[in-house]
Amino acid sequence: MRIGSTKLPISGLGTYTVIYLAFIYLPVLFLPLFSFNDAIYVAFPLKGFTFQWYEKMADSQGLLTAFENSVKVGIAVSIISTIFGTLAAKAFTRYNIPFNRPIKGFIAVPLVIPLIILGISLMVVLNRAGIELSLFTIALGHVVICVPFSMLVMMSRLEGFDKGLEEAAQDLGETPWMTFWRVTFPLAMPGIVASLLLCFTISFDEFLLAFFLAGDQATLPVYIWSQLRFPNKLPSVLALGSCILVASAVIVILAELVRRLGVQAPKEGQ
Amino acid sequence: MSDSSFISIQRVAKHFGPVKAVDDVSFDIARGEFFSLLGPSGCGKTTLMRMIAGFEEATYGDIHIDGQPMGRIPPHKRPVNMVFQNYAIFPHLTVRQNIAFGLRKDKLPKPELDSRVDEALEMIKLAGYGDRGATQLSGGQRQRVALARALIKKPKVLLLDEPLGALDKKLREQMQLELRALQKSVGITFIFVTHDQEEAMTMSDRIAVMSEGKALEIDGPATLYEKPKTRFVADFLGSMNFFDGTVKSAEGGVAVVTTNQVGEITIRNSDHQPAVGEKVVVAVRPENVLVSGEQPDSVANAVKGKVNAAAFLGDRSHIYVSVEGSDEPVLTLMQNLGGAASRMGGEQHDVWLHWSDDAALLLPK
Amino acid sequence: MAADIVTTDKAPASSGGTIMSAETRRGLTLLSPTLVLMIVALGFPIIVLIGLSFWTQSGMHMTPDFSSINYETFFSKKIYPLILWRSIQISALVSFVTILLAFPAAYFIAFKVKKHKIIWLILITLPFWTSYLLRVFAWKIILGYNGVVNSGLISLGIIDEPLTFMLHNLEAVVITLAHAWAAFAILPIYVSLEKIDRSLLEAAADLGEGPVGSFFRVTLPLSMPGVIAALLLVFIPTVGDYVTPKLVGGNTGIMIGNIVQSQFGRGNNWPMGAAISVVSMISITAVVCGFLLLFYQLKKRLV
Repeated sequence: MRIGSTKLPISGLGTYTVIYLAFIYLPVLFLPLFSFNDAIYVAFPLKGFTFQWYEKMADSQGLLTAFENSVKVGIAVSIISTIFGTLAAKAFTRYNIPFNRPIKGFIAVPLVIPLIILGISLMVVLNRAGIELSLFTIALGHVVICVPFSMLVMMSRLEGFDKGLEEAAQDLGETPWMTFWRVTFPLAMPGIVASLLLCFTISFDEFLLAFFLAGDQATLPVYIWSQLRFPNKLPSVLALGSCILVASAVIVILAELVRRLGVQAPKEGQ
Repeated sequence: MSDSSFISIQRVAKHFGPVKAVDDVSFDIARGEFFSLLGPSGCGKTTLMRMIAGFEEATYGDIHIDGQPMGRIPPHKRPVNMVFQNYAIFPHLTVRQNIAFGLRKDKLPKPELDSRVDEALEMIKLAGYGDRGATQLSGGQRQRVALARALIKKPKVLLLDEPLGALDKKLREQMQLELRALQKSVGITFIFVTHDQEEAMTMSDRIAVMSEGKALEIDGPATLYEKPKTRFVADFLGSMNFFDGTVKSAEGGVAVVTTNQVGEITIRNSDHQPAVGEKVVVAVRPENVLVSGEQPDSVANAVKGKVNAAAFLGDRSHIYVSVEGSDEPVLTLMQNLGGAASRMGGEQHDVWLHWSDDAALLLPK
Repeated sequence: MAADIVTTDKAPASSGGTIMSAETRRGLTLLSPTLVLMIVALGFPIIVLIGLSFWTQSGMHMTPDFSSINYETFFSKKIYPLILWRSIQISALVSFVTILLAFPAAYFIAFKVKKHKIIWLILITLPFWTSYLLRVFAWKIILGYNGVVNSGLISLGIIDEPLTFMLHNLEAVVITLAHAWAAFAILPIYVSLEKIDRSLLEAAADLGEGPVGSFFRVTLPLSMPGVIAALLLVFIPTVGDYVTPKLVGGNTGIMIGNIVQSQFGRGNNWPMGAAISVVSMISITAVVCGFLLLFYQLKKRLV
């Protein structure tokens, strides 16, 4: 910014953005902070450094089972959603679909409706159909909210590269199927990986739908919720939460890096 | 401050790190002149223009407009307006709102504002388009709106950044004439940036030919074309044949140069008086090289060759003739007068090339 | 058959036996699995929900019916519409606050950052991708009676007794929600700003507008699509939020999502819950349409 005609090295907007960033991170950072604190209550002053909550966390059977469940559901959801999302993305970007905007909008609806409405509607349908709630039903709910994300990620990826490449491959003699494997798939790969990672994270962290659609088996967020009413379990929850935060962060960063990878990718030989 | 130095570029340079985009350029532009900055991509013409507009700060040097140093004056305070290469029409505004955009600060009463916009619309022949959304216009129409938008502010200088590049050939030629006529009628100084030398020559009073950040020659189109002083300018404007050689003799305004390619060349009335033994380049315009089947009477400025290829352009042919002393064929132009050029054909027949002794130029090596 | 515009009704793909190229048919075939999935798992359940809202509940049984009793109950019990209205207000407030906070940051990244914009974006949006539950929980421990703020202030000697006004109320809900969405709101705004052709800003300057004028006459109008998108993307889901009011809202900070949940839980009146959901969906749609209309009217006046 300038004062008069002198240019100050500090930008007002830059400072603001840094403060904004701090505002977003600070509250979340209290979780890890107190997870190492040697006290049951989350309060200042800090009492001392300890790993005990992490150890307790690793011991808890309920937690480990819930973690396992979350991973199972997450993997299933990410694969299924990515498949459906990619198919839709390919359809929209490579073909002229009639009414493509309303249809796209419809598929994207889960992004904008209050999740609770989706949760209860699914629950109602499952109940009336006599289907028992279980990890499968949770996975179903998660697929519904992940497909739009996957579709959007894949669409931006597919739109990003030249359709002419596929046409060139076919012109050079490849069947549509082989074109897909030798040209489209490798170029779309970063998007697919990003979609898998993102959908996994969304499913892994998702609470509300899991809450409504869970049977006997809990996922991790549902487990955490159940622990929230026990004050002495609190620090273990913090430990768990911190682990989840770090894991999610790593996955998301990976997803972004992979996604961006394709954008500057050198022209791969086919 | 005289009218002839209405705009004064004084030792202006722009460095981007080690790269000298504009390298110590100085010249003046007269009031009311149609002045072009001509050169290949990367020659610095756009950078120089942006410095005049105020979007780039000069690393060294000064720019004065109407006696006033521009110094650090930001673009919105300069008496300069620009027509951008991509027109930069505001997509969220109508044609009328686009044109009136720059007048908001003047706080004109609505009737007056409206009438001025109407006048502008008339001038660019888009009357009645006022309420259209800007995005609904074709490229040529947008260009005219950009023009009107800039001119309505009655700037002292109008800068045009390759405005005709996106138009197709016929439209471009039409616009060139229209712009020229427009400039004469409003009397505003135009600075026109282009890489198209034909365009520059058609429209300009004077042209500054730029290369690698330097302004090589500044003069009227005819002078630059017929009497270039540097090899670059000779080559850049139109086509040119170049023959390297050594000066054999030079007296009384007549120089004789021995070349490997075409033997001896006699040059009369050259501005450049060389020394004997000097290495020079002789330049001859293709249109000045005559082609005939029989050997001409005088031996000087004549050479025998074989027709290599002929490109028929409709109104003329470019005929490439290979001669013994040179790898490069000599280029000649033949007007298709009565079908002469179309009949020429590309067959390998023997021809004689010759030119008069005041048709060649001597240029430093 | 015509496909509907974006509502929660199912939208069948158009075919109707009209002349369709093989190309288009291939495209539709490719699209069909996903479309069918969404119709079955999204469209259909919502329709069922709407249908359920007309059923009645007596004791432990739901009776298929076509009664408007649930809707009547909703409007007769003053508290339900009140909480719905309050939820809408909270969401609107949160939406505006988050947009307002996010805009300068988005502007900074779009216009002032030259290299590695992506790093800034990842940094800012990262928290959003992590567990929502945990982020709300973080505020619970921050604002709580024995929480971070209180214990911190006490140990610093600023106060003697913990402050009670921070948690279990509407204010806590608003703060928590604004924080939760702040990271997300920046994305659509950034995309809009990034798309703005920089030569338009140069043109504005060339025509006499200083930085402030250029911002209001060019940048801001052209960023509106992104701002509106952000507003909607924050507003709509927030109205039905359950977790935040439950964890930090206490008794006074209840939102409509809590009411819906209780009907499916302890309250055991699923048709009622469905009816409340339907009314909420319609209200949200109405508010959004009203807002958009208002916005377009304003736009015409201002330019």
